Amino acid sequence: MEFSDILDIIVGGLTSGMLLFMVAAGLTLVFGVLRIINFSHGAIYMLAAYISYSVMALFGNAPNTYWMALLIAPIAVAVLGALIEVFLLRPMYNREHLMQLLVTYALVLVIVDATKFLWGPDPKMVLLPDILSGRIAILGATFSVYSLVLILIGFLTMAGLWLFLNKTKLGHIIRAGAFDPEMTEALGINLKFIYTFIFSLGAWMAGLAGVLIAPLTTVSQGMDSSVLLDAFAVVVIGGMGSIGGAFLASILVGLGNSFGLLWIAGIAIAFTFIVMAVVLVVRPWGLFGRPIK
Amino acid sequence: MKSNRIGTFLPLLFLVFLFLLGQILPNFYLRIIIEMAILGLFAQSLNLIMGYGGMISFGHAAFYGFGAYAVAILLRDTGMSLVPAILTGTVLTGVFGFIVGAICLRAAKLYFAILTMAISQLLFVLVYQWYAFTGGDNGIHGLTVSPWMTDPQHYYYFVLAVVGLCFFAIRVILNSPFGYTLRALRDNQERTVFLGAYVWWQKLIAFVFAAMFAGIAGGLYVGYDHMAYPLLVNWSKSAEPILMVILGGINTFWGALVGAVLFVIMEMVIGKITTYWLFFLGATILILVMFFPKGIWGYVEEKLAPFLARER
Repeated sequence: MEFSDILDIIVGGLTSGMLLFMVAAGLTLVFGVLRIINFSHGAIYMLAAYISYSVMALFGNAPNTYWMALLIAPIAVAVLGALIEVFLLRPMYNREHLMQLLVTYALVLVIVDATKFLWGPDPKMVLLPDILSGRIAILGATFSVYSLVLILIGFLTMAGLWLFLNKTKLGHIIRAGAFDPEMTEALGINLKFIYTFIFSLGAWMAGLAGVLIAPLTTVSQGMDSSVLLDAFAVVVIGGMGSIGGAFLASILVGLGNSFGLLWIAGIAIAFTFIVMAVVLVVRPWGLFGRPIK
Repeated sequence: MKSNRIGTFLPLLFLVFLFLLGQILPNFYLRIIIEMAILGLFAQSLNLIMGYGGMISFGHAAFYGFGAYAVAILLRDTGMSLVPAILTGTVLTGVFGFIVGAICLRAAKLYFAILTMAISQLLFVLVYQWYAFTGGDNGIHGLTVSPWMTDPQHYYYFVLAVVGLCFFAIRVILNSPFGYTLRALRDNQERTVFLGAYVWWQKLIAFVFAAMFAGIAGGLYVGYDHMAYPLLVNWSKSAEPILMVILGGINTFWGALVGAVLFVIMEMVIGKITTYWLFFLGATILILVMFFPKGIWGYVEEKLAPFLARER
């Protein structure tokens, strides 16, 4: 095997890993702060992908209208996320966990069927802008520019989240709220606003991931559940609530899948869950999670 | 256990009613009732750990599917007839449930829910990929059961007997000291520990019971449809019994069955009018969770409380 082949596999693995991380990060962030498993995360991701298609169609469907879609669609689902938090989740915080899970699960059914109703069952194409659609030669191998950009975005997202949570005042408040909600509220901080903000941010990230993946595949029914399950696996492997854990797990799973394909075709779906099973048996709380009984 | 006469009398009356229905209803309706009974048992098996044990499992389809596949593979490869296949499948599901439970019960609450979902999805991937053994995404089709069983009316009585026995067994379990310890654990784990209960074993045993009853339901489904396919293990299948229990009423015994019956009716009626029946299901759940958290049977039971023995 040539060095350029290996490089090719690494870039491919990192690309899918980073796309996965974009979804998983929002999921684990919401879980870490709100203690809610957001089943509707995948549906929101799919909704944003459909919205990006419509935004581009609205502006004449030229490839360069992708930038408009990238701006508008995540914001649209972030607004939806804020509405969901305020009207559906907020009344649930002092109820059992089960009721919260059911609300987010019911939202999956509603959102998925709504997209089917609004956009129909046929897959939709989303075009890449010219500047991202080329290929570039590095070290004897050629890569699509878009892959490299996606990897860069993934790393920037991780860095951005880390800086936000560790170096800003709002970030400190969020971490305090996740650590001890009662004490944080007693210090005079409005956690209601924090919760709305985090859920909305999670939806925005899901939306961003949905728009980013749209040009690589088609926008179609079923893209929500496949990504959600992979993202869940990554979150579980990394440790629920741990963003750094999700990041490393995403890279592990992305690279593992692309290298695994060399030896066993069809391992791609299973690999993620095999890793997860091993991690669960050894450390049920994940690589970077804390054991909570 | 203390229960007034109506509480034990009504279920028997209901069973007699179902027996008579088998004589007069055409096959089309019998098939629907078979489906309701199987799903009712599936929902009740989850209710055992979720409603009474406070353990939220998002991977209960693992056991329904495991039972179904076990029976399907036994029928295909060993020449066993349905009844011994279901019995063997139930034992196998119990062993599988023991392993899964032992892993998942290392975590609690939401983590437990996620772990159960993760493991069931692992099983789904395995079933989906292992063409040589499980038939992969095609599933296992064209199974033969004894000719006597292929008649819907006969199978109706078979399902009625099995599901009836299972409901009776679950009732006995729930009304035993074991069942009351389970409720105590749900309501206040710390205090129950102080009273001397061994939490982990207690929960694990309940989990294995739940797995076995779900396995029986899965086996009955194979006897009814003569096939097994990966969707039986999928996470959407895990959500169904949760929805049924909530629809009917969590923390009630008959709620699970009522929920299953309503679920099947809703799917048929709304599914006939529109292809977007899941939208309405989602909306219904939202309304229930928001405004009627006790479910439909929970509401009825509250109104009938003066007449019925309430066993919670």
